[in-house]
Amino acid sequence: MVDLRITVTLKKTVEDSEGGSVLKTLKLLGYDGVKDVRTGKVYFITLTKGTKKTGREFCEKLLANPVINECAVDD
Amino acid sequence: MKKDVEVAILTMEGTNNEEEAYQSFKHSGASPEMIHLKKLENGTKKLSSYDILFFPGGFSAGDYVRAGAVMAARMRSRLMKDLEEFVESGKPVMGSCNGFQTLVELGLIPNVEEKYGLEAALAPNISNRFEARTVYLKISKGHCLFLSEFEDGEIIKLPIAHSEGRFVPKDKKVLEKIVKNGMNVVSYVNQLGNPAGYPWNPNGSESNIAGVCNREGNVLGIMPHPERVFYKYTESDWTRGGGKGGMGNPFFRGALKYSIEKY
Repeated sequence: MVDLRITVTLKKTVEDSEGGSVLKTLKLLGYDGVKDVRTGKVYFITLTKGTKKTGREFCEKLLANPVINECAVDD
Repeated sequence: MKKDVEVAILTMEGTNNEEEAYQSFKHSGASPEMIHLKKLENGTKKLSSYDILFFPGGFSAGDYVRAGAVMAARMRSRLMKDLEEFVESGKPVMGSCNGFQTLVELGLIPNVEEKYGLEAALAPNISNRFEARTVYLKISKGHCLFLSEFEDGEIIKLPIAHSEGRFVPKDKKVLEKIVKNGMNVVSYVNQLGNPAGYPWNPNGSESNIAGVCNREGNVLGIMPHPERVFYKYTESDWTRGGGKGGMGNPFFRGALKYSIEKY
């Protein structure tokens, strides 16, 4: 068994509007020290066969659009 | 000349507005049929049997992963060759809202490099809100067959309803080619017809792009919903002004006219 953790985020060059909303709200809650918030999705995938390379294929074929996303695969 | 224009309206779990699209094509004189994606996947239905392909709006596969991503991935794995043949034969393909997102994820739009790669994305709206209202749009018809019934430069109003509509090209080169080839055929404008920022541009789209046609003019992806305003009485201000047809009407007439003349 291989457990993969795949994290998909917006590229730094793409404005993260959800992150912006979270940043604004945290400041409203009194956390003045928050400088930036970026959001993303994490997929926890268990494989019966395959490797990290398989995870990268998942990024290419479904989980990320390379125009706006970065996709990191950890095992 | 073909008398009976057959339209495939592609559905799957979570699509909507297929009924409006069905009625719009039917009342334009075509023979529409709703086809579930599974029927194309298992070979019960063949894409090549149809003259026009329409991708409706909604939230295919619940918008999970990314809007349009699941539908596009399924089509890429089993139907891409059929889809490429359909497009390359010159037959009209249109997607509105989620349909536009799917066309972009399929690489059919903008496809400036003609390799069906991912050249753009429809990112979350900069407002971080679901934007649902009527917007002003400018038509720059070029040779997009869906826009042949409009006047060039015409200002129209169509409804929008989306949270991921911000058109982001892969890079400057892609954007330049879109502009150079006249593929940015529908743009968000203000009430005077000039490009403007939010709220006129509801999602923060690059260069106020609301709709993109491929270079050949037979594939149109558009965030607003022409099928929702096929008739005047479904427009938000239907009690004002005259005219029989809604502002979405010419999109369907244009596609039908082309299909009748060409096939």
